[in-house]
Parts: sequence; structure tokens; C-alpha cells
Amino acid sequence: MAISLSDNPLLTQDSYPLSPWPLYGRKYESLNTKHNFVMEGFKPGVPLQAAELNEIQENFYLNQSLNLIFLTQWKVYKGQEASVIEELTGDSTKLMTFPNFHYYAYPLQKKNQIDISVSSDNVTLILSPGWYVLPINSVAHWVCLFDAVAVSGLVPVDTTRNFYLKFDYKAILTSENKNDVGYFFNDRSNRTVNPITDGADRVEITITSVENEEMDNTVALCSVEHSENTFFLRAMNNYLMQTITVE
Amino acid sequence: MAIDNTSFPLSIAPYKSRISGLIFPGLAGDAAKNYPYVAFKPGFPLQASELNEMQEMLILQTNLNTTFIARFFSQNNEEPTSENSIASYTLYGNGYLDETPGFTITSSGGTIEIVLNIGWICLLYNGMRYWIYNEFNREITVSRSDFSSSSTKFIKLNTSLQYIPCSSDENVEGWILNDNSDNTFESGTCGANRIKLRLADTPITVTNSAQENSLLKLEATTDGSFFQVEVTDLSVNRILDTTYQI
Repeated sequence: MAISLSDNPLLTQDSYPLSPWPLYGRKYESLNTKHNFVMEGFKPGVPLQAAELNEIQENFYLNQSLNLIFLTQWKVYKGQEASVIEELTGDSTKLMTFPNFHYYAYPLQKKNQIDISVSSDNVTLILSPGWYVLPINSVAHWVCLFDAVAVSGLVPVDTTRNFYLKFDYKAILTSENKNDVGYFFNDRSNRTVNPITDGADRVEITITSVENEEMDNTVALCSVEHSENTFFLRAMNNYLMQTITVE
Repeated sequence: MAIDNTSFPLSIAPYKSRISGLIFPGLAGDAAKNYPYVAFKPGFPLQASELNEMQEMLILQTNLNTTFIARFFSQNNEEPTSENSIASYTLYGNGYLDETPGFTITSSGGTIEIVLNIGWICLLYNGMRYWIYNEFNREITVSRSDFSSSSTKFIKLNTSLQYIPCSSDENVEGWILNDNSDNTFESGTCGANRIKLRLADTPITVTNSAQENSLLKLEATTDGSFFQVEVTDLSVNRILDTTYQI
């Protein structure tokens, strides 16, 4: 069963005690307007805002919390019996490792965040809204997918196909134009945006789609194996997320 | 070997980060002040010490994470009893995350005494996770009457979050947030406030259901005239070896 955005942690204002005026940490606001600003780009010559220092801390505690949730969700136990490996991966010969999110992307939740549906050899992969960790140049970032995405691909019998997250990674500049996202990076210590104050830029990561082949700005997320009449959906550490058997 | 996380390189002059003195005030006989956030306010001068303090707090939290992960993986490699069972519960630390358990349980005289030991604890507050230092042993006693309504009970930690404003009154907590660059706290030099997270005045309670910051599950079964109480450590979802009789 797919999950919704509201099933995910750390997306309500209560989690961000630096949000209220005059502190104005903007982390909750940016998530609530569907933006993943993972870093601030301070510029020489531009006045420093108190709110920007608060946002650094909000980013830190968000990352810490998601890392700890991920650790407890995905931890792997040593000394597993073959039967346990079979249960966890669907194949007792598979190697089961702790997810290395410096190489591959992972959902925060082991179950229900990624699902497949099958029609003949055609597999449709559906990503639910929520937190995904993805590496860019081996640096892992937590990014929220705000709306579900899907892709289809053929997975003939006795083959395995990888699926990939595609992302966009760019700087968002502070702007005087109120139609730009960067307008809200200007100083707001008087409760309203003062468009001539300037401020730090932001680095934004956006998950744009899920793809059935590797291309620029993609990172492997999961695989689907078609063996006889069964489809196995696995994370990149071989954890079995879903099994579908067809007649 | 205990990890010494009580001293930090930016505590000395002229950097003057306050972290060490706030979290480990034992020298002054005071309670620990866990300030996970420096709450910067517009219109107030920025103190160099605040920037140093922010860095030290984030480095400290990161080190507690990695220390915890190393300990967690080396000592709790047992098979999980269900896949997602530990996701929503507290991860406990202890002391300096050394070999001592984070809590101690004993039974005698028809009661079970549970002590949350001095040390680091990873607490949840509205879903966010913070390492805070518990400066006292916190105790709670569970008796047979606690099981009168249900045979399953949970031991929960209670947290409190406060905004601590900088103050010119030297008798209140916010006094030490004044500028300290010349080795004294000078009145009228306020900078950032702090956000304080701590265990509440009633730090541990018995509840009927698992909640945020539940630490232990107690399940009682009747054995003649005694209750046998099985304890599950929810941070690793593991039943403890000892069954307690009350």
C-alpha cells in the first residue's frame, strides 16, 4: 500500500522550533512550498541574516534525525542464517549489506514507499511522496519527493532491470523579483520581505522523475528481477521490498 | 574506555564557546543546560562565541551519532523480532557511551526499580532527534498495582522544550548569554536566545501504550501469587534476559 506525504516525518512546523518570528528559520517554509534547499550559499559583501544562521541549524537537525531513522529502519544484523537472508532478500545466495547511501539512493521507509505493478513483462514502478537519500558526487543528501512519480519498463523473464532517480541540482539566487523563488531569501526581520537587502543564495535538489535507464543526473534506486512467474523488487542492498507473483 | 566529550577546543579565550560549561556544569553544582539551538535574532549584535558554540554543538551531535552507531552495531547484532519495530522509539545512549547500560533495573520487595543512568540520551521532540545530557540518575518504581488495568505497560521519558531569552538580570538563566568576550557577562550586550531541551520535571512515567520516547515495555504474567515481568528494551526491540518477579 502506497504512503502519502503526510505519512512522512518532519514535515510539520512543530518540528522546527526556530520557525516563529523573529527567528524565521525558513526550513519548514521551504518544505511546505515544495523546495529542498540543502545548503546556503553565503556571499561576501552581503549582510548576514539571523534567519540564515538559524536555517543552518535546522538543516543539521533534519539530517541528523533522518539519518537516525534510516539507521534504525535499515540496520542489518550480523551472523544471519540462510533462512533469514532468504526472508530479507528473497534469495538465500544474495549478499545483504547495510545500505551505502554514498553510492545508491534509498527511500526512508523499507516498505510501501516504492511499489511495482505488473502487466505481462511490463513493470510500472511507483515512488510515493516522502524522503529519499541520494548521493551527488558521493555526498548524500536527504531530499523530499512531494508528488508521486512513476515509470514503466520491460523486464523479460530471467532478467533484472535497474531503476534510477533523476535529480536536478542547482543554485537558486536571491532576487528582487517577487515572482522568483529567491525573493524570499531577502531579509524579513520586519515581518515583510525587504527586496533590496539581498541574502544568501540556496542550493536546491529536486527529484524530477524516476527512469528505467541510466542517464545524466541519475542514481540507481532499486532493481526488479523477473524469475519464472515472480517479480522481485529490491533496494540496491538487495533488501526485498515487494514480491509479485503472476499466474 | 570512556570517551571524553567534556572539553572542546573553542571553549578557551578568545573563542569562548559556552558548550562545555553549559552541558557539564558539575563543577558549579548546577544542572546541565542542553541548548541544541542558538536562536539568532535580527537586530542584536552577533557574538563570535555564538558562532563557535553553534559549530561545537553540531560537531558534538555528529560525534554522538557516530559513537552511537559504532556501539549499536558492535553490541546489538541480534536478529530483529519485526522489521519496523524499533523505528519510532528512543535510541538511548549512556555516560560517555561506554560499556555501562543506559538504564539499570532491579526488583525487590514487590517492586521493580528502573533507573535511567547519567549520560547521553537521544530524545525525540516533535519527530526531531536530539542528543541531550542527562545529568542525574532518574528513577521510577513499578509495583503490582500498576498492572491492575493492563498486563502491558510502557516506560516513557518526558521532554520539555523552552525558549531561553538572553537577560540583563544576573539572577536568571539568560544572563550568561550576554557577551562574554572580556571574561565577564556584560549587562546589556544580549545576542542570541537559546532553545533548551531537557527531561521534564516528571522525567519518567508509566503509560498504557507505546509513545514517542518510550524506552521499555513491561509485560506481566501471573505465576501463582507473583507477577513475572518480562522487560523489552524498545531501542533495540530486544527482550532482556532477566525476568523480574514482584
